[in-house]
Amino acid sequence: MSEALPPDPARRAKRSATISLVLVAGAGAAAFGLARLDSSQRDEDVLVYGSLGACIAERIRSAEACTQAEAAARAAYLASAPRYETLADCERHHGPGGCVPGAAVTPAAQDRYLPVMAAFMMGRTDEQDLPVQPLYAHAPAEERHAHGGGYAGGYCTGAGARVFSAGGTSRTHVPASVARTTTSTPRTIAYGGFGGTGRTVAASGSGHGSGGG
Amino acid sequence: MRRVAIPERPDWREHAARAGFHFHSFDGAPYWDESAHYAFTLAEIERDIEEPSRELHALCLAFAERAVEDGAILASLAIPEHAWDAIRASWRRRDPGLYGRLDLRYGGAGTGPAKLLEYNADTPTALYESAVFQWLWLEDGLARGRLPSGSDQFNSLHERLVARLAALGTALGTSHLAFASFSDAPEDRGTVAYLQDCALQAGLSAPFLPVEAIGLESSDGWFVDQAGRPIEALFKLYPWEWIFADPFGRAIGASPTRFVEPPWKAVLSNKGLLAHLWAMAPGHPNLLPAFFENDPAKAMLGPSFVKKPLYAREGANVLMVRDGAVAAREEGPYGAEGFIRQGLAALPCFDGRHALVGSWIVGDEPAGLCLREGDGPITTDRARFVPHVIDP
Repeated sequence: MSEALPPDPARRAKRSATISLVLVAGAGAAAFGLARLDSSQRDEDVLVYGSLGACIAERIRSAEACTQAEAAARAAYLASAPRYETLADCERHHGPGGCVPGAAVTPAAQDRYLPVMAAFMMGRTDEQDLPVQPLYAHAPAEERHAHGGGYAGGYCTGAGARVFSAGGTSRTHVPASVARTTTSTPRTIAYGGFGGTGRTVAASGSGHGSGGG
Repeated sequence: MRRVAIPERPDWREHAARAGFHFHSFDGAPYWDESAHYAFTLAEIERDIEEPSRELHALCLAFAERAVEDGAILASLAIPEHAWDAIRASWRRRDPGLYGRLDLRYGGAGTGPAKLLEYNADTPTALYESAVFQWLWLEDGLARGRLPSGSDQFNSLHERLVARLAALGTALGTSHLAFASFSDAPEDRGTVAYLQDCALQAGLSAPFLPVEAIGLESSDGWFVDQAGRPIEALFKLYPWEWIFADPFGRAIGASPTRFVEPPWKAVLSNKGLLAHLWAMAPGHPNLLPAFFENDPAKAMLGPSFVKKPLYAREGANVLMVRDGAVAAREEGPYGAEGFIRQGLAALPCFDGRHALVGSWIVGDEPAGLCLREGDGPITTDRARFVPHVIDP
């Protein structure tokens, strides 16, 4: 490369000095699971139980605290479980069999679909003063596939935040913002409101791409 | 500016496969064409393309500043009224843009100044092949002695994209930028995969989701991903005019989700821009006279002009008239929103090919070139990407 010296060493190249690509081998699929945690957020120690019995049996919290927490989660579930317009939208997030018709839960959710309450989350101690929250199975199809057969599940809150409880243990921790953010009004999520115009236009053209130009 | 024909590398398809360039052919015909390249002098690049591009982009920003506040201008661009607030708010917040491509008529020193044909300010493709594969072609050509030692290229796209994405994360106050396009359109998906790569290198998380998988949470207005998680910032390779026509389009203005490109780019990625720029700066050396089709002043163009739909891509629905006779015409699905008429500036012909210069803007800075060659006078999606060098 000794002959590659530019004739005028003072001239700055008009091109990038280096190019590196980190994703090319698996563009797209590799983009999953890269969400970084905001390290500035403080974590809260929480307990996650799939049933009232599991809470009482573990004896970290008193039976009375468990009973109150489970009831509070049930009440919050009725009032604020996420609503979906179709069963398919609901199951896309919460997994096959993870949803029920809203009418079966509360008259207020008629004509909607709700995830089943899969667990409830409470603080490790009363002093944390955390609100009890119902949790839902978090099982979007593309994440199950991305993790192969070893997908470990996990939960999400009604506000859409993730809660992981590793290895079936009840004890875990979540960012304070997740532990303290509750939804008093249900989130109603609709899908499919983007893309229709493009599909219609693309169907009448024949570009390499559809949206680009 | 010269066209230099040299044999293509026999192994370029393997190079392409290694570099993740999977859409190098289209309908069985090559899209990437290295059987020739264009050679420019540094003066042609810097004086005739780079500097005018900077000035044209600045002129476009001056127009956007005026357009977003003026209902008459927005209406002239056929932008639906329900979108005006979102466009105006994104401009007032100074939501940052990422990139765009000015398409220029330029034929080399001594053939007159570069002329703006249109500004792909919203959803340009041809980005990956410009930034990466063209660059690899040059480096490989230098290493193998196929190109003159000291050859350079106007192509700082990659460095500028990574830097701009990092700045964009800071400006939007997030380290998460989701990317959306149709997942079954290889060129779109490839362009977005490359931008995801740049975003990762800029320190952002960069998940992909198909356009149809975007959800809307109706109580707080967030757009959400497949799992219902709010999307703080979303890059979409899906044009604003389609978004505004989709059912979710009316939710843009009230949503806390931030978009890249921002809604205000809709006033630039519209052929009506060309008529407004000419009205703002009549006689500008880098502009062609242009008028809305319903403006009687279009008569000054005489019998030679190009008629373009306000919304269109890949040359679709463009009509070229020379001396009163149709010289070329492309069919397509566009045109319902109206047309403009632009002075005719035929693309330069090299060895029988019509060459179009695409001049990239990243942020607000010129960042490189892409050249496409077509068999006809209107550049369409059948045009071939041809690399370029700057002479040593």
